[in-house]
Order: sequence, then structure tokens, then C-alpha cells
Amino acid sequence: MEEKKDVTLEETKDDLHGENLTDRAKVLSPWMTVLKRFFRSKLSVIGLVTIVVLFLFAFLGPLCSPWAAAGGTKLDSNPELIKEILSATPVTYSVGDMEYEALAVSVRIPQVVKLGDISWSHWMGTDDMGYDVLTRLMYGGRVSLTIGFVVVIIETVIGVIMGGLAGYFGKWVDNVIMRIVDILSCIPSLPIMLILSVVFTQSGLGSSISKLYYMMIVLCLIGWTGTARLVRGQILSLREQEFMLAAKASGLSTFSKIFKHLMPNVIPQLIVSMTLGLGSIILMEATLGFLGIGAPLNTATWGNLINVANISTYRQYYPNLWVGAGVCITLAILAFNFVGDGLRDAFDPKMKR
Amino acid sequence: MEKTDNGEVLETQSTQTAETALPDDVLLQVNDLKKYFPVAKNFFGKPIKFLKAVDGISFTLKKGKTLGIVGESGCGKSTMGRSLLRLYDGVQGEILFDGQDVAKLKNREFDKLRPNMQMIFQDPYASLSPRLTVGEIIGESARQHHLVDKAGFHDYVLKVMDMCGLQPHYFERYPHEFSGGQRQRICIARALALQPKLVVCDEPVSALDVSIQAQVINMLIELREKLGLTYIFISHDLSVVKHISDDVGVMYLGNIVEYGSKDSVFSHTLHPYTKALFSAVPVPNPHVKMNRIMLKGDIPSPVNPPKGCKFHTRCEHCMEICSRIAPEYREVEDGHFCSCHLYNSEEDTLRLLAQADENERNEAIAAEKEANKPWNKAKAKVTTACKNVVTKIKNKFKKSEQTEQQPQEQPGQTEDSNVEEK
Amino acid sequence: MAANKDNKHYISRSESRAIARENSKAIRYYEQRKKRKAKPDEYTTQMQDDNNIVEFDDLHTYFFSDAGTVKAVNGVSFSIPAGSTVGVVGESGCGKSVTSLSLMQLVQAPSGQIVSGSIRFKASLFKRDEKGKKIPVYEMEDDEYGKRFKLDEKGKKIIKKNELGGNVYEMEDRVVDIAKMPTEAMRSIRGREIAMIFQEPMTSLNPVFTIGNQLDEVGYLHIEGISKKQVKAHSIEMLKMVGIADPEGVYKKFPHELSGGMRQRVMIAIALLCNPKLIIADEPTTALDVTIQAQILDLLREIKHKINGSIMLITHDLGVVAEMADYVVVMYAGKVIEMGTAEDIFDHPMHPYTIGLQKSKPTVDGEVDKLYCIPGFVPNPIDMPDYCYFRDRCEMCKEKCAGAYPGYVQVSPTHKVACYLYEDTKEDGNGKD
Repeated sequence: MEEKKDVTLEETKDDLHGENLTDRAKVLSPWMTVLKRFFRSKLSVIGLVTIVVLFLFAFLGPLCSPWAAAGGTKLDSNPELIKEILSATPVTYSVGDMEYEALAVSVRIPQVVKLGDISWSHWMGTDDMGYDVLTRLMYGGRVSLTIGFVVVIIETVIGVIMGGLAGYFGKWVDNVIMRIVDILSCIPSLPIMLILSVVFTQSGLGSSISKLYYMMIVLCLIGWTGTARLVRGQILSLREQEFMLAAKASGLSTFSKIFKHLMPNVIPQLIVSMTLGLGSIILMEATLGFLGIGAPLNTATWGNLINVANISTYRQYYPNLWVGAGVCITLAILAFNFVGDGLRDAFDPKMKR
Repeated sequence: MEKTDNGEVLETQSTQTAETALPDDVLLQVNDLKKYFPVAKNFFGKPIKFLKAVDGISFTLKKGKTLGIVGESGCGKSTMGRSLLRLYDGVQGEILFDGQDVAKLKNREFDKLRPNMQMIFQDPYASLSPRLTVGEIIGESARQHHLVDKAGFHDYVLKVMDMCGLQPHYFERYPHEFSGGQRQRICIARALALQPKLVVCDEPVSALDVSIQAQVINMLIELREKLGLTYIFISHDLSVVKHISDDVGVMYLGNIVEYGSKDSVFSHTLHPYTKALFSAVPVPNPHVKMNRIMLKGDIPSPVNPPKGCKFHTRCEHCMEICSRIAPEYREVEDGHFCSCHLYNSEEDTLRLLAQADENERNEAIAAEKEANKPWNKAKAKVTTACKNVVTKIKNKFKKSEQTEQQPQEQPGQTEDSNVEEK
Repeated sequence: MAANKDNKHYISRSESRAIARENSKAIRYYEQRKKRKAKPDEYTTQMQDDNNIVEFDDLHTYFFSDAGTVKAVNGVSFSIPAGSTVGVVGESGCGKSVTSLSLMQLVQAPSGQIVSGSIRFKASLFKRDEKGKKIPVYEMEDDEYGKRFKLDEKGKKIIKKNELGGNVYEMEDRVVDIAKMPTEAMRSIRGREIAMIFQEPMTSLNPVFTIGNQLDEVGYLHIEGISKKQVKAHSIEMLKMVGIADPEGVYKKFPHELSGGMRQRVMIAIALLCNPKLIIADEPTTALDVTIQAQILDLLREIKHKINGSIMLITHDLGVVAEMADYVVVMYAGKVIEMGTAEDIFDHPMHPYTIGLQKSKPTVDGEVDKLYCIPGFVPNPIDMPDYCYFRDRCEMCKEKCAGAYPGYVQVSPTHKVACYLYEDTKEDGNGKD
């Protein structure tokens, strides 16, 4: 902190000297330049606003929902149903040598479930299990958005390390890593997901949400190739720049050459590719959910909500069950793409608009 | 080792130099420095064609002196500067720095010596990391080499910045906020922060405006006096080189064609290329009507340099011998070196001619041998066959009026098909 | 980064917002003005001196950037006499290139706009009929009934051809104000009447087309009715004219196969294709080596005699100007600070900047112990003060210099300088006369 004070002291002293025409004009700080360029494009602003709204909807929305008591995923989250429990008496019975205790509950089952009944209490109706669709949409957003971030961050970390190594060291390192990348790019992700789903279900993960996370982590392990290619390409071109030659001439260590001189220059491209990647991960989750191989079906994710459109009756007569999720997915992907494009333009120093 | 009377210029072709033989005041001695870039490789990755960017350069530089290197773009002057600092791999020859042959050191050992030899680059826009602050750029390497500890870092950097005419509040700013002149000062500060003995200035002022150029040149001279620096000043601008240098070397296609003290090179120019170069500089005086030596054509490609004297294709004094054998690099006057056949004595000429004859004979024999190898014979057969086929096809499609152009186009076409055949 | 918050060096958020608002307003206004449909009368003017081919009169070209309005050209007035070479000298950022781009209406839009002032250019334009079409000149023949149109087999009138094989149209000489011209009308002047040679011969040729292609394209565009054969012949003729030894060979080559000097020759050939009256050479030799530079300068001088046109030579190299120019204009920070004939400027430089510039360049034949250098840096062109822009760096600064920007002082019939140092001498001189 003391250093900074020194600087400001010097500065005021300098200002007293009288103004110098070269330093007289103010300039835009580096961050301001990026922000200005970003906010100049209307689409990226729309995208940003949409993302913020979606996040608020997913993470703060359930707090305002009366149906959110137990995460919107349990049957008893619907108070109307709870009222219908008439009596509960403990019973003991025996089968063979074993004695069992149970709770005998007599419930009046409501007139089946009121599907698609849009009312003041259920703005988007309830689904076949009696859940409030709007609340489930909010909870679904939590899962879908979090998954996007987890996957993108893991992918980027692997991609940066591998791409960085390949680009900086070149020669055989580059060759080995890029051949791994080539091989991984050949693996089709959807069939792999189908197989994994079966494997995980058999190993007892079938009913828990962590199955989806495991699947997504596997997806990361084969999905970092794009980032690695990007980083490698960037570093290859940056490595030939004169400032890298200058860094070499001053005998800097490899560590500082990579992390202080190269990486900061790759970060803009990384942010862009991460943003665009988020959209595609959300789409992937939706695909898995729609095929019924993602998270367990009783877990709310946007993909699972869309899954009901597989049943033709629901598709035809109860659009309120799945249209919401579809719109959310579309909005999220569009928004991330807009923001990604906006960031790309904002970071590009050659853009003059 | 040959040594001139005043000891200023040392020249040697022999590689048996003992390190102790260097006089105390010599900082750098370069013997037969070569840097070839592979431009074509065969299938197995073995380079078969080279760009001879630096093709055997030797010079000696005394402490506190400045050596100016001039030449046109593509003559290898920048490559030479970078090779001296081992910024390229695969540099051949001897670089004796302070009595140590740095060309033979391992990379890691050489990195420890790097603070002693620094470089200022041509483009002040490209040579600064865009995302580091000025203070960090300048001080980073000094910290790395333990020239300064963490506590003294800020003061140290400010001291260096002050020396280079940078205001202290620039410490926290980013390079893109500065004009070219200020950036070049940052570059100089970065080099000087390492307290070097030798600074290679690679066209440090050619990207700058005239008024800023003068500032930077004056600053470089001041710093040389103050810190006892030794410069290698590379530039295409003759007037700047003349102003700053003690010795001048003129480069053409990877070789030094003329070398000597500033006064002797500028007032008593020997090599025809140097003469042409000097006469081409426009003089800011409308009354001076130059009688210019116009050089014909462009500088030839260093991948295929002309045989014999590399300059003979553009030289107005070109003789028969020039296209046959390269001239020797020799001391024509006291401390003034030049490689040109114009300054040969009679016997030299005869000797060289004889050598040229022998070389040509040897080459002819070698070529014949090469052609007689079975693989090459087969290749020649295929080539002629292809040529015939292509000519036939062409003749069919060609209209009679275009027959004149045919001989010109044939070679290119046949070569193409030859490559395919391989 | 935290220090940036209260750092006066950076633009604050509210300031930046105000700048953006101003900019979008200004840009919209000027863009509309350029796109409007204007009658030729609106931009027809009169030359002040009939010998001139171009007259810049108080030209202002601004760039509306994020950091504020950059007054790149801030009141520039000078003229280019017919058949002469005018050298515009100045350091980078002084507005010399923007001046020439304004003349071509090629300033980087939308941020860059010609704001006020006028550029008068003596153009020969196509005469247009009521529908705005060019009026062709027809082939005539004499027979027993007198003069009548020559007809082809289909009974159509034959348009007269010029020596290149292009159609001949009726032309009219007219003085236009390029600053007020809409973009649409400008197109017939660009390339045909004024041609430009750029600094970077490496990037100003399209790498995917052959040299011949690029030459022919310009030929087709500007010489209407020319046939394929004739265009090729003309292109090769031009290549020969710029001193290319093997024009047919070069015609078939791609730009990357040529050296820098050759490419610059090709650029000059493209510029010459339509026989322009004025060639703008924007730092034509900066990217070239001295020996090649000498060749190109020689060529430019030769060409000027051949086409009997004028050259506007923009450069930062005083040596090049001294060698080439008849008249010299010295610019600093968007303003002309001194102008006169080459002899005036080089023998009796008046402005402290011009003097400093000449002293700060080392020469090959002279010897100085220490180079003179102008202290300080070129000012940032945003938010310029109203006193002399050179005051900060000037060593001959007087008290008066703190006042308004100095006006021009006519020190001799051809020599003008904007500096307070000479105001008294001028008055004295007038008194004696």
C-alpha cells in the first residue's frame, strides 16, 4: 500500500509542474475500453440481462414460491395433498420368523392429479405428480446452470494446461498432446452418455442427482479438446511475438514466461469460449434429460421437464408442462451466445466501431 | 590470431583461439558466426535447403565502444544481433564474451549470463507485454536475477525509469497508453534494469518520429558514457549509425562486406555496395543534386544467393571473376576490411581464378557423380517422360498464335508434374 | 487497479457516457449528410486561384473516439498548383495522412468525419442528362447529305472510342467541393481523377489475385466499354511505364512473388491506369530500403513529367521532401505551421518546430557532437488547448505565446508561418515598404 501512496504523491507533484500536452488528455482505462465496446452492442446487453434474470429466477425464485418447502421435488410439497391424510396407525405383522413394523396410512387420494390446471396458486399448473411446474422450473434452472459452470470450468482448466503445454514446448510434447486431442475428438459423446447412464444406474447411482454430475465430468474429460486447440493456437502465435523474444532475452524463467506473459493474453479468448461453451453444456443436459438418461426423472432439471413432451397426450394437451422449460433453455443458450459474441468483439483490439 | 597495430580490430578465421589470449579491453569477439534457417525438409524431416541469414561473420568489439551495423532489410543484421544473444537455437561459430565462449554454454547456464547482454527491439509496440504494468515490465527480470530484493524493488525501478526519462507515475500504467517514443524508453529501461555490459540495439529508432529519434539517440549516448555500456547498433539508417558508432560494419546477404572505423568507412568508402548505399540517402537540402549510383534490381533471396560475390548481380563494377568466386574478406587498409575483387592484387586475382577453376571442376565432377546415381537416373528419366507428355498435351490444346509463349511455360509445368511423380 | 478509481489519468464513467452521447449525435448528422442526394450545383464552387488543382480551405476532420473528439485535421489550408509536387511533412499523428484521406473521402467512417471547411478540386466530370446518365459521343460520318451518325448493322449509333478502346463521353470541367460531395458522386473522382499510393505495398495488394487481375479490374471500372484485350494491353503498358523489365511475366504473377520495391511499382502502375490529374503518395517509400527508395523516387519524378499531373507527397522524411517537392507544407498536431517553396523551408526555416526538425536529424556528411532534440512528445490530440500547440516544446517561447493560437505571418510572397516570433518582423517589413 505504501508504494501506491508514493505514486499518488509523485503524481500531485507532477501536476503542479503545469500541464503537459502529452499527458493532458485522459484515456480510457483498459477495463473501461472493454466494457464500452461490450455495452455498445445491444444484443450483448440483452443477453446479459437475460442471464441475470434467469439466475435470479433459478436461485432466488424458489424463496418466493409457496410450493418450495422441500425443494419442489417431494410429493408433500403440495400442501393440498397433505391435508388429505386421514389417519396413521402403527401396525405390526409377521412373515415367517420375521416381524415387521409399518405405518398404516389412510389417505384420501385426490381426484387423480389436476394436470395443466393453471390457476392463481399454480401459475403454470401442476404436473402429473402434483408438483407445481413453475417451482420445478426454478429448481431445474439451478441444476442446469450449475452444471454448465462446473463442466465449463473443468474443461477449461484441462484445456488450458494441455494446450499451454503443447503450444509452449512444441516438438514432441505438442505432437503427443495433439494426437490425444485428435483421438478424443473422434469419440461421439451421445452414445458414450447412453452407455454411462446404464453403467451408473447399475452401480446404484440411478436415483441420485450425482449421477448427472458424474456423467458431466466424464463429458469434460473428452470435451476439453476444443479449448486445448484454441489455447495452443493462441500460444503458438503469441510465442513468436517480439515481447516473448524480449522475455527470453531477459532470461525469465519458463514459469513466468508462461503465466505472466502468455496466459494473460489468452484469457480474453478463453472467456469468450467459456461463455459460448456454457450454452452448449446446457443444451447437452437438456438432450440427456429429454432422452431420459440424465438426472433421475424425479429430479427437476430443465431437460427432465422437457422429457414429458415424449408423451403425446401431454405434448398435445398440456403444453404448460414443457413449454416453460423449452423457453428457458432457448433463452439461456441465446443469451450466452450473445454475451460470448459481445465479449469477443469487446476484447478484439482490432475492432474499431 | 592476427592483430592489427592499434589493436582495435581483430580478425581471425582460425577457431583455435585460446580464451586467455583476449586482450582485457575486448568485450566481445565473434568468429565465423553462422545462422542457417531450414526452409525445406525432406520426408524424414531432414533439412535440405537453408536460408543463410548469417553466413560467417567475424568482428571484435572493445569495451565502451559502439559497433554500427548497416544494411538493407533481409541482409541478416537483425538475425546476427539475435544470434549473439542466443535467441535462436542452432547458432554456429564462436561468441567470446568477456573471455567465455557463450555459444557453447548450455541454455540454463547461459540464462544466468543473460543480464550481461541485453537487447532493445525495433518495434516498441510489439515488444512490450500488453497486459503487464510498466513497472512490472521493467523490474520483473531484475527481480528474477536477484539484482534487487522485494523491498527495494519499487525504488530500483523508479531509479531506472528516471534514468530513461520516464515519469514515476507511469509505474502503474499499461503500455498501450503510451506513444512510440515513450514505449521505446520503457524498452530501454527494461534492458538497463539488468545492468548489462553489452546492449544490442536492433533498429531502436527506426519506428520513431524524427524529433523523438533525436531524444532517444541522445539518451543512448548519454547512458553509454554514464554506465560504460558497449553497444551493437543495428540500423538501416546510415546517418544515425554514423552519429552513434565508433566502428561500422556494412552487411549484404549475410556477410560483412566492409568493416572499419567510422571515419575510414564514411570518408574513404571501399566497397561498391557501401558507395551505392551512401549515395542513395536523400539529403534534406533542395539544392544538392545527387549524382546517385542507382543499384539495379532488388536484393537477391538469401535462400539462393548468387554464386561468387553475392553482390555481383547489382554491382556496376562487376568483373568476370566476380561471378565465379567469392572475394576474400581482408584488410585493405589499416583496420579497414573489405571483401571485393576490386582491391585484389595481381597475384591474388590469379590465385583466386585458379581456385575458381578448380572449384568449378570439382563441382562438375560432383554433379556428374550425383546424376549417375541410380535413383537420380530414374528421376531424370521420369522427368523427361513427363516433360514429353505435358508438351504433347499442351500442343494439342494450344492455338497456333500462342506458340511463342510455350517455351517459357514449359519448365514450370514439368517441374510440377515431376514433384507429383515423386 | 484500485488506484485507478481516483486516478485523474483515466476517464470517469459519467464523462465517458457524455462523450458517447455527443459522438453518436455528431456521427448520425454527418453520415446523413454524406448519404443525401445532392444536385451537382450544391457542391460546385470556384477556385480561388485558377492555377491550382486542389485547394484546402480551413478543413476540419475529426474523429469521434471513445476518449473524446480527436481533431486530426484542425483548420488546414493550402493549395496544390497544377503540375507541381507538394510535400506534406510532419510527425506521426500530425494529420497529414488524414488530410489526404479527406481529399479522397476515405476517412475511416463512421468515427472519422469531415466536419467543416472545403476541399476544392478541379475535376473533369461526365456530363449528365436529365436522368443522370452519361452522354456518349457518337461516331459521325460525312456523306452527300452532310454529317450524320454512323450506324452499325443493327442500325444502332456507334459510340466513339478513344485510343485505349474506351467509350468517349461528353465531359465538363467543373470545380467541386469534395467536403460537401455525397459519397455517391465522389466515386467517379476516386481512382479516375485522384489516385493514391499507400505506404505498405505488402498489404495494399490483394494476395489471392494476380497482378494482372488487379490492374485489369481498375481498368474495367474506370474505362467504360473497353475490351478484354485492350485492358490487358493497357495494363502491360502501364507496368512497362513504371520500369518493370518483364511486364508480361509480372502480369501473371501473384503479389507474394514480388519484392517490396516491385509491389510499390505495381501500386504506382495501378494508380496511373486512368491517367489521374493528381497522385497522392502517402509515405510511398517508408517501408522500402534506401536503395529501392531511390529507385521509386526517381520513378515518381519521371511519371510526373510523363502524365503532366501533380503529386501530393506525404512523408516524415525531410530528405525525401527536399529531393522531390516544389512546395512544402509542415504540419504539427492537425495544423499547418509553416508552408512555402522547398527553398523557403530548407534554407530559411522560420517556425521553431521546422528548425528543430531539421537540426534533429543527423546527416551522413555532417558531424555534430550532440544532436539537437525537441524536448517532450507530440501532444495527444484530444482536448487541445487554445494556445500554440508547440508552446510546451518550444525553446523560443515568448510571453505572447500563452495567448490565442497564432495566425499566419506572410514572411515572403511564398512563405507563410504560424508563430508569434515573426509577427513584429512582418509589421516592420510592411512599414519599411
